[in-house]
Amino acid sequence: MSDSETVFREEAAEHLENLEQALLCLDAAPNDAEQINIAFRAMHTIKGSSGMVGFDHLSEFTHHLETLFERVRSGRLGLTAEIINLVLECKDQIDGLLRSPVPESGQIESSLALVGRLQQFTEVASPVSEQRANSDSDDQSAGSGCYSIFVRPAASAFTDGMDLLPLIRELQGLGACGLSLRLAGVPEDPELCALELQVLIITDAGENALRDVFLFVCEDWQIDLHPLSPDAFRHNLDRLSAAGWLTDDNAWALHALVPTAAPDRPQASDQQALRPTSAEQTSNASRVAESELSIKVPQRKLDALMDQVGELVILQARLDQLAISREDESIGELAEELDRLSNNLRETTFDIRMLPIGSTFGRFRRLVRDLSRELGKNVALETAGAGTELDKVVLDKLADPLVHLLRNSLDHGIEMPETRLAAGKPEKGTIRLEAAHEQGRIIIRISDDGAGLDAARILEKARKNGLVPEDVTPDTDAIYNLIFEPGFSTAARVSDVSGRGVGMDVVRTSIESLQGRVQLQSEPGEGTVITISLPMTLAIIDGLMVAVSGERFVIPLGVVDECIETRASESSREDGSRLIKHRDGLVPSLRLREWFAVAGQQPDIEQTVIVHVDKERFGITVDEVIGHSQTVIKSLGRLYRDAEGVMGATILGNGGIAMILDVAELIDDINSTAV
Amino acid sequence: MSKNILVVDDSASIRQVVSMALKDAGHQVVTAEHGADALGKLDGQRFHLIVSDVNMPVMDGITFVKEVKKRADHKFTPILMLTTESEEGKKMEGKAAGAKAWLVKPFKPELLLAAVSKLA
Amino acid sequence: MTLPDTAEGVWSAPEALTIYEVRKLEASFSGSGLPRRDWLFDLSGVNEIDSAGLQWLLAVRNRLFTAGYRLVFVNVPSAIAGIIELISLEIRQNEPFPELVTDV
Repeated sequence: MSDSETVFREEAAEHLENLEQALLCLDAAPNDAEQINIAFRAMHTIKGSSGMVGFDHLSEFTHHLETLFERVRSGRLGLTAEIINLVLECKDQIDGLLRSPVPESGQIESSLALVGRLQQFTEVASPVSEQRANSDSDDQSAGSGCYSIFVRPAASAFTDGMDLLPLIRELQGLGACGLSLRLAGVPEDPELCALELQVLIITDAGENALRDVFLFVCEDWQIDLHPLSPDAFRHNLDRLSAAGWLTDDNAWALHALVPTAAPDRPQASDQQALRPTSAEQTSNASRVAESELSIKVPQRKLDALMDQVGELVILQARLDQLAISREDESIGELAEELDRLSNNLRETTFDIRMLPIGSTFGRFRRLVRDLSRELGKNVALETAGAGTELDKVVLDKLADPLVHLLRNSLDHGIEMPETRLAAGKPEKGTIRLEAAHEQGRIIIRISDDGAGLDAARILEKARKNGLVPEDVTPDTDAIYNLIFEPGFSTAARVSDVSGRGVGMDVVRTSIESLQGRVQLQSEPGEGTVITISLPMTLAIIDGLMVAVSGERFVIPLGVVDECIETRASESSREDGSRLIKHRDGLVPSLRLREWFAVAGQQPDIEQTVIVHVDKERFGITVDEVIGHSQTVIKSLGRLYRDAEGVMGATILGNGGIAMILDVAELIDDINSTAV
Repeated sequence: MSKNILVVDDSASIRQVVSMALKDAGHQVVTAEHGADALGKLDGQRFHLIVSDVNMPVMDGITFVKEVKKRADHKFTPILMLTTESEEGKKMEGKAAGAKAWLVKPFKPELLLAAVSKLA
Repeated sequence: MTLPDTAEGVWSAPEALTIYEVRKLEASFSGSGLPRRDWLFDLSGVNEIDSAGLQWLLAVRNRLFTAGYRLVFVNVPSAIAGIIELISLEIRQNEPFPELVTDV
């Protein structure tokens, strides 16, 4: 027995460590579902295994802790600092109890005292935290896969003590199923199994979980399990229901659940769909082809790949520089070759990280449905541009802000049905969520046809909070955008929906951390439009390298139209803005030297890079244009975070640093001063 | 769905852990201390699953399985055996006698519940 | 176990329809041959069914179907409704499945 005791102690120590880590995290974020689960699992496992190796007292003791976390997990009990401290005490007690299967009398006493304190929390009901329950079920849309499973049990299955029904129940528990059961021939003996089962299932549990269902069946069962592309799944669904093997309701319900663009299996087999159907259903060849279509890769590995590609790009820039400075043709050739290769590699890597934004739309639909019901409003969510791809990291970080913005539109934007009817609007409100590519950036727009913002109330509140001085009246757009200021809440009464926790300032902060911008336009009585603009990736951008007195800057290539020569004699205003002649018109421009107060001599002939944002043109005047460069963005330190007109920095081939310009922000500033 | 499960083990702590896990999952549990004790508890009851230890006093697990298979009203009931690493050899013997599945001790209660849901 | 009531065409199923019962059930139905007619199986008394029992119900229904008659399950207790639903389709369930594809 001593061996399994050792195993048990090691296992328990590991779980206790997990418990402690989880408690420390929970101290800061008491609703973290993942940490609650870790704590629960730790107690659950110690309880189970301790009894198995004869630590009965310990098993009994941890049972109470497990019960506590079960209550927390199901939302019936909220964690407080008091509870966390108590559990930490219990953890120390478990450490002591692990020494011997038979506790000393002093240990038993302290166990009893702790259990008494635990029971205070496990026996009194606490208010339910709905928030958690909701977000838990929301999180599941990503990653569902389609499978076909054919099962022919061995003839001896029944007499072997095997039953198909538990397996069917387990499959039904894993996802949405279409089940067809048939008799293969007329059974000569009622005790011999002649059943065959055909299952079509959509699950996010993964292939291994499906295989695990059949863990205990004998080798002589035939089990054909195939992952299916959405197209193949639909095809099979139609075949089975056309032959009468599935009810229309069942088939229809499954059709509705087929992932539109399987997020984790980006095969999205457009080309595949064009190939003629092969009815070879179990051929190995097709199985191999299927598995080649997509694989799941941990985020961490992808990030590592991206980092290494980034390093490679930097190294390649250094090689370019070396080739130029040495005027060595053979190095130059090598550099050019490497340039081409690393370009391709960069693009491939970049592409791997791209996911269609539509993979998150399902979750939002659910949110709108549930929330509108809760609020007693009648709201439809329209979506567009589901195929717009963006970096997975951006997509992940975008989910929370989007949820908040949608909640806000639902809660504060869309009016109650009576109000809408009274205002002559359709009873049903509409929220539109659309995504598109525009000029190398991703634009996401959330618009509603609700009441719009109340500028007067916002201003009044902003004044009260000291955000706007009494003697200043900003223009209406500026007033609207005040709601993104920290601590601002537009609701007169804090409603349950958007009033909790985060405010719009958090939305802005998270979008800015993605190098994005958020803007709001509103028309009283007509609705509100929130526009988020994001870079396509966080890691690498194509840019135009420019220099001012030897200092390097990068302008994102996506906004660059052309470079023209301008003369230094054209004077500019104090803030660096002025108008320059371009083609037949005047273009507002800004001199970077003045904007960033770069020291040094201004050359007689300067270069002005003409850029555009939306349909407007602007000039950025610099000393010289160095050329095209691929830049790996490093996030700026605290020091630069508030530097206007800068979105990030990059490390140069020679180890120096170049600022990456945020052109749109620069232009906002020219506009606000030039008008 | 609630199942009627017979748990046979001479170790009180294992009976306790196994019963606790099964009851928590909503099943009904009857316990017995060894094979002979368990055979006595078969009468007049229908079990959906039998969970049995191998090494037990009075009547060991393998003999118990063979006896169950002789009982017309229990011969088709799936039997899950609990074993330890050192009893690898008993596995084939038990399988030949008619046991369906094996769990090696110590195991996690989740594993037991997963097995129950597949067998019963 | 109640024998088929040939006059009414209604049969009340026993409490359990499992591997332990199917041989006896089959014997009582096929000895004299199941009277050829439409049947109602009253399942109100059933509180346990496994796949052997389900297979037997399916086999009886297919046999009647082949002979041109119908078997309808009535008074299905909610506890086993999900299971009976697996054979609820009004088609002859010994036809082969259509061929499915693994790739389109």
